[in-house]
Amino acid sequence: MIKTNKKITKKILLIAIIIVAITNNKIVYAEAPIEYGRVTRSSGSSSGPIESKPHTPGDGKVPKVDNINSGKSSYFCEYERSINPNTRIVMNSYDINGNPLMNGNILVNQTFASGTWIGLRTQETKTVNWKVYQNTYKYYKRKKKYTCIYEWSYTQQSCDTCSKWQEDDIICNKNYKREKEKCVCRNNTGLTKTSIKKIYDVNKTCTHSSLKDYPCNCTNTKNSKIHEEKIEKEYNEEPQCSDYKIIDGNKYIFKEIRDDGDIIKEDSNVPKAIKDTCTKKSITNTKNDAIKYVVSPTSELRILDFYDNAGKKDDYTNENANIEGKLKTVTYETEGIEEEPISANEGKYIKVFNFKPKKVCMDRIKSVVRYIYNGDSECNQNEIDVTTGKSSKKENGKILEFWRYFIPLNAINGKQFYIKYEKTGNSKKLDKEECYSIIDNYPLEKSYKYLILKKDGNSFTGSSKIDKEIVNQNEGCKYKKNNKLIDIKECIKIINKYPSVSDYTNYIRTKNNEAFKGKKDDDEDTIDKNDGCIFSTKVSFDIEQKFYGQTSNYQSLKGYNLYFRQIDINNPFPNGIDNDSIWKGLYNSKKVNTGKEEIKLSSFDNITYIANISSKNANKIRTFNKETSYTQWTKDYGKNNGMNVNGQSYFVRYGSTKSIFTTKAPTDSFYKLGCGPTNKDWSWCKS
Amino acid sequence: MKWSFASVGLIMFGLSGLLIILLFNEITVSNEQDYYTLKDATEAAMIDAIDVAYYRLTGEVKISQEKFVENFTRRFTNVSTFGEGNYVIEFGQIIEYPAKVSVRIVDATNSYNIYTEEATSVNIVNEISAILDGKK
Repeated sequence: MIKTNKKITKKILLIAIIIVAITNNKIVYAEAPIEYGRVTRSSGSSSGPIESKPHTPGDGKVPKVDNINSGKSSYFCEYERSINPNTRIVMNSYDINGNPLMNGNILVNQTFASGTWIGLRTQETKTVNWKVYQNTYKYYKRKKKYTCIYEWSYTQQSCDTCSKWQEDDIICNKNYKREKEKCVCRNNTGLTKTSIKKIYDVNKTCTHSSLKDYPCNCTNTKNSKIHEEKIEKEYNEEPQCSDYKIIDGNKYIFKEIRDDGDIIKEDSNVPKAIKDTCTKKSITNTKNDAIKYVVSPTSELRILDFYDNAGKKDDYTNENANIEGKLKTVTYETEGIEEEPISANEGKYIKVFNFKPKKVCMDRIKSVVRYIYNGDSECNQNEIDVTTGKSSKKENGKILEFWRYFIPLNAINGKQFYIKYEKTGNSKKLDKEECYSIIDNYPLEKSYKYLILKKDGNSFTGSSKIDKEIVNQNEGCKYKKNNKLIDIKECIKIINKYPSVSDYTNYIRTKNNEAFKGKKDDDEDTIDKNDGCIFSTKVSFDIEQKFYGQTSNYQSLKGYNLYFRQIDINNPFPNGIDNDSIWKGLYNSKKVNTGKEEIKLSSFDNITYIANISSKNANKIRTFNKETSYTQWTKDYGKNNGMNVNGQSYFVRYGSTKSIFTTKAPTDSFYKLGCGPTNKDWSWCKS
Repeated sequence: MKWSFASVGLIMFGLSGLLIILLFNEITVSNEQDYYTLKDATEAAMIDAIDVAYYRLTGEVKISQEKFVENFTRRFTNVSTFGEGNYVIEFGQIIEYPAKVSVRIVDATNSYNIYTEEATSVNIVNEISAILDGKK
């Protein structure tokens, strides 16, 4: 017997759009190789630059140039660059009508019916911005050194030095006059003879201004001076010296050129070709390193794998509907790396990873869902590809696609099904700052459901809204929100920050896995190593069993959630139609809206099938019944039983039992299996 | 003499009455049996005929027309232990979505000769129209 509807219990559905921008800004200073290039002049072409061991500018190291060959040059390029990867993860979900469940940042609470599907779109967008800031060029050449030697020849006179008094140099005082080299008294000095005589007897004084030197005894000798001028020349250049040089007014005549060997010298005049090569190489290297950040996603998505045997009606009564399964990794699809140039030395790479199963197949006869995760498997003969659907509304100006995640038909209220989104590989563990950034962005007040995975991988089954179970082995503490593994000190900090949880003591464990008894803020026993933090988003769905009935304790299934009702064709709903009845909106004024057309409700105006049950036919039917159960839809090999995907019954149309039916409805009077008014335009319903 | 004819007449009258009673008994019993069998079989067949694949894709309850016809025919025949068959199942309007069916059973009784030139048998007709209803 069919049971009536059961009370529906609800839990808040938590479908989160998690938008996480995890930015890893790293400025890389020429950690990329310094370009070591050779320009072979003789051939006129430049060989490809050779990567040498990189160094950081300013570290005191200089590139080795000793091995530049004669006549060759080399160049070094250094550049600064930045590579900024960014990861954005977006998850959205869609109901059975394709409506997105997140409008902007508003979470739309909704339950999902067992057996039906929820649309999911999980997308990781990896972006990396790259930029080359500046190029520094060093251009070295091994050149030839020469010295132009100039000589100035001159005659040099060498004399003794004599000195004599110049005649003019004798100076007498006023009383004396000069007569040759002596002074004699002057006449007319007013002096008397006597006085003159006396004066004459007195020492005569003559003064000489100076003695003058003059060369004497001279001899002439010839001399020369050398002036050297160093020049550098390319190897194939002939050295050139001037014919003469005027230095300090002296004319130095060119004498000879001296070969002084080689010199390696930096040439500030870097050829444009070198600059272009360096620039090109710096950009190429930066782009090659940048693109590595977007090649693969940093996360993985895992969903529950189950096989729910839907279609075998009797099975559910033996099931406790505690659907568990193993998480399987879902592959991602990508459309290739999109390159977005910003300028000549700046650009961006973008790659989008869409996480979804390779295929989701539904058997139209058994209605069993099967996921294909990888490989080239296709849906089987009776299966239809129900992988993707399209959003009913534009999001960001686009109609987006989602994939269908089918909830088992026999899932009871309160069971959770979930997908798990987790970073992988080396980037799996986030550092504390990133953890807190995420924690702070999604405070507990928003009533997100946080789930803990215990160490053994099973869900935490606590009932409080904010459940925290700290399992302290050598992994520090596990914070329940988004399954992060963080240091116990930080965990305690969070606990203290959110004091509304009253039962911490039940959930904090000491090292020995005993109940925590100490004070929250000074429990040193639970301090352990910091294992960092694991970013993991577990999105769970609350389901509502609408197809089957449930027992009073909602622990198992019983009967159906539908009920059979005999009707009077002329007045099928004497008490009206309930607002939540599946017939609401479908019947009005004796007409039924079948989705395909509106028809008048009638009984036997038109006979569609007539079965003549003679004794002989009755025996056939009873024999058939022994071999085929009523609930069997699949066709056994070699037998005319089961259903065809086109909606025809083998019992009615084929085999020994078909003669029972003297009248059969035309085949276009019914839908194919899995098809109906809502999806009649889907490809497998049209064909 | 007249008493003997009267006795014979009485016996024949009794026999006729008995046949009538048997006939009507068969009618009523068959009718009642048919009705409950019809109702039960219709209900079970409608549930058996739910196109679960369609429900999983759309959340709507729809039955498969021919699966219903098949299952009803099989179920009804299987539980009809009276007589040797000889009934006709007529299916009227069947709507897959929303689920509604109309089924008629025409069951013939045994033939009874009650002072008629031909033996009398009666068709017992039971019919039902029903829907599957539930909460959205």
